[in-house]
Parts: sequence; C-alpha cells; structure tokens
Amino acid sequence: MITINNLVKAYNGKIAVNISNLEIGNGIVGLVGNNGAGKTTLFRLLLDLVKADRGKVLSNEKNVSENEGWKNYTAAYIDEGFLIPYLTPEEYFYFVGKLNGRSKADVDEILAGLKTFFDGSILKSGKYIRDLSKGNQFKVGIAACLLQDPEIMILDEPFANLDPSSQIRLIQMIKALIKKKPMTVLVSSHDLNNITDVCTRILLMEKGIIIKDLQTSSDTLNELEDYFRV
Amino acid sequence: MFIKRKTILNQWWLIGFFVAILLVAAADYFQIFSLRNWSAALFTSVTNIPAICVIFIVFAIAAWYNNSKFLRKNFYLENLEKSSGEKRSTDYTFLRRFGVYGDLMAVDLKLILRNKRPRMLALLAVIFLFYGYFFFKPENIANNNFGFFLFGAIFITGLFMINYGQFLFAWQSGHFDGLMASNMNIKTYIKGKLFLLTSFCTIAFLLSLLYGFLSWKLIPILCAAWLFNIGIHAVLTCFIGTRNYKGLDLTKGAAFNYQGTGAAQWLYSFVILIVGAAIYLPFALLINSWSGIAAIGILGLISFLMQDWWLDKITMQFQKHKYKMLEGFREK
Repeated sequence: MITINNLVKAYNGKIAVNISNLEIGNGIVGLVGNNGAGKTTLFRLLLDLVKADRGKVLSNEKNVSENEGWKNYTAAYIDEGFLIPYLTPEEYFYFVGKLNGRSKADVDEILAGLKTFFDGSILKSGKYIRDLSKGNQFKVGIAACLLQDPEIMILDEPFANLDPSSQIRLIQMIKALIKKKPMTVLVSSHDLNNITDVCTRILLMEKGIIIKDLQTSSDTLNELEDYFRV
Repeated sequence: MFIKRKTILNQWWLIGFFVAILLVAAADYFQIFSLRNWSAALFTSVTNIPAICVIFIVFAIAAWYNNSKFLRKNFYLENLEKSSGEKRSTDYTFLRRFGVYGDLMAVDLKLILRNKRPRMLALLAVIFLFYGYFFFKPENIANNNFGFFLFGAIFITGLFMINYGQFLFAWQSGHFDGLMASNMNIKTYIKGKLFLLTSFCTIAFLLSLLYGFLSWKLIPILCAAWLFNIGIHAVLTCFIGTRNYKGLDLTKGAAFNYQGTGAAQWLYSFVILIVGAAIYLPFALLINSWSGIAAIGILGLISFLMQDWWLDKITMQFQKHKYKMLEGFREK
C-alpha cells in the first residue's frame, strides 16, 4: 500500500507534482496525462530517486526516503537508465536475480516462461543491452521487474515502445500476475485503449495534480477521450 | 590528434606510442642517440637558416591533409559503426565465493573491461607499474630518499585507484537510477566499491614486490604504501566520490578524454598528498625515515581494520548527497 501525504516537488519554481492525499492499494492502477503532467516525476518520488520539497511517500507505512526496506518488494522500470548497458541480457537477469535471492536456475525457469514475450530477440542474442533496440531494451527492463516477484510494480509508459503483439502479451501477463497474488501495479501510458483495458483504477494527472480518480467502467474510455480532445 | 584517433580504434597504438617514447628516453639515457641534442640542433638551425621553416610547414600541411582525408572518407555514420563480433556472457566463477560483493565486483569488472575509457585507465595503471625504475633509481637508493620512494610506491600501487576512484560512482551514472531503486542496500553497494579498490591495490602491490630485487629496503616501503592505500586512501576516495555530481558517458572513450573532470579531481589528488605527507613528515623529520614509513604502515593497517566503521560514515555521506548525485548524473 502506497500512501502519499502533501507531496510537492517543483523545478525552478514550476510545480511538477502537487498531491495532497493519495492511497494506492492492490490492483492495476493507471496514470494518464499529457507530457509534462508530472507522471515520471511522481514515479521517481515513489522510488526515492528525487527529493521532495514537501511531504512524504509511505510504502507500507514506512517513509521511502528514510528506510530502504521498500526495495525488497518493489520493482520498477522507468527508462533505459534502469538497465546496465554493458551487460548481456542474461548477465543482467542473473545479476538482478542474485540481488533478489534467486539462483541461476530460478531465473532460467522464469525466463523460460517469458519466451513468447521475448520473441527470440533477447536471450542468446549475442549483444550487450546497449546494442538492443529500444523496444527490446524495454522487454529486458520489464522482465527484470517480473523476475523480482514484487508486491509493487511501477512501469512508466511500458506500451510506448512495444510492438502490438508484445503489448497484448504484456497486458495478459499483468492480468495473470494480479490473479496469482495480491499486488499493486502502477502503469502510466499515453495509450488510452490499453489503459482502460488493463486498469481497474485510473488517475488523471494535469500539471502535477490528480484531477480525476476513476474506477474503470465502460464509460471511462469516452470520459478520457473527451478530456484529451480539448 | 592522429594518435588520439588511432588509439580510439585500437589501443595497441597507445602502447606503441608509449613504447616509442620510452625507447627515445632510454636511448637518451644510455647515450646512444640523443634526441635532446638533435632537436636542439634542429631548432637552432632554424634560427640560423629561416628557410628550414618550410620543412615544418610541409609537416603541418601533411598532418592536415591526413586528417581531412580520414574525415572525408568516414563522413557517413554507417561507416563509423563497425560491427563488433558476437558478445558472450561471462561468469567470473572465482568471484562467487565472495557472495554479493563478488557479484558487484563482477559487474564493475565488466564495466572496466567492456568500456573504452576505464579499460584505458586499467592499461595505464599496468604501464605505470614500470615507473618504479624512474622512482627507485640507484642514486636515490643510495641516498635513502624514503620520502620520494614512499610517494612513488603509493602512486605505483594506487594509480588505478586514483584514476578510477576519481569517478567512483560517476562511472555508473548512466544507470545510477536503476541501482538506487534496485534491491541493494547502499551500504552493500559502497562496500562492493571498497572491495574493488582493495583488490586492485593488492594486485598492484604484489606485482610491485618484484622491485624488491632492486633493494630490500623497498619492500617495507611498498608494504607501508599498500596499507596506506587500502586503509586510508580507499576510504578517502569513497568520501570524495560522494561529492562528484558530474555524469560520465561510458561510450565515449579516448586516451585524452577529460569529460567529467573538474575541481573535485584536483582537490582529491591534493588531499591524498597532504594526508600522506602529514603522517610521514613529522616522524621522518623528528625521528628518522624508518619511523615515518612505520607510521604510514601502522596507521594504514589500523584504518583498514576499522573499515566497517568507515563504511557507516561513508554511507551517511552518500545518503546526504544521494539526490544531488541522482540529479547530476541524469543530465547527459
């Protein structure tokens, strides 16, 4: 459970995030908003990668900036800054696995389950991560998150760089995950169709403020499209 | 410029460059061929016969032509990317026994070996091991110039730490976000770095022991320098590392690449010198040189045994500066 209290972050006097009260529990939660709305900054604040000007983020009631315990059950992928570029995908997976107490065999097993998602271009590719295409880098990042079997998973625009088949596979994987165990998946996207398909709750962000907090229904897609049509 | 360009393509050119310089210097030393006298004669002859200037102009034009020909040929981006062979995943099994620190060191080792710039630094450190001949000359040994030897020994065993440690955390600036959000305690991360620095100093030390053949007196000095490096120098390197907020682009590599250097780096070298001198000089001047060496060695050992305590302090500093580092490293 993530709790946000009076969280404010500004850059050069311009407000990037300003959220007075927000609780995110289990389920798939979507975050939408135009560019510059503050989505990525919010994610960074949740992961203690940015210092808040005011307020705090609590993960299971512990302040993320005072305590490193949240790292145990949280996995995230924001951009290629989360990957180690000079490793091969396998080396990176084993490294992440090791950090999370998974042996090589465990990792191999999980990777085998991702074969269709990888589509043959990730494992045994003979390339370092820095030489993979952007879409494949994203796949590596997402797979690394899944390896950790987290309780909280944060993905920043995961659909953006994936081809249509991979997008559909990712949606299926996320839905399957949620069925298996209670967890929080926080996803941001520009793709309104995917977001309304996969998320049970959608937060609409504008200029750093959450202006709408919707429970997804059949009307949600129209509601969002109306908002963005302006 | 020519050498710089060629060294990017193939670092053997750099070795050749250094070997050439060494040969010329050696030739000078052994009075086989004196470049000094030759170049003096050349330049004085220019003042006598102005026409010789033309030769220099011809060289300049030749260099310009060589460079522009290269640029013209390689102007298209696709020619610049050479397809480098298939990459293999490597597993350093000998590091497995060190647990998580072995894993971190494996990642750091791969950083050094697979990226041009840190690889160059490692190479330089290996070449620098031979500088002992410069520091430990027979005249100095006869004069018991221990201060000079100590300085040399610290440099020889610690050059990699100096070169690499300047950017200790900045090397990973490209993926610092990921590291900080990963399931890794910051204390573990820093301890992994200390482990790396200690290992490299120790390997350099063991190799440098060969200088013991020049004089047995060098062995205790090298020991003291090694203890100083792993005990005090390594810790200082970590502290200073937490103040470096400039990112580094690993993909750019060249022998003469100064990206990311700033005042912090000069401050760093200065601080190490001051600390070393502050320990050695009082003893050396008041008692005798050997006591100075002993002081350095003993203090280094004590500091090394206190490493866990230092680790906590460094972690606190790191936490304090973490956000500035994250922000600075994100700017590419």
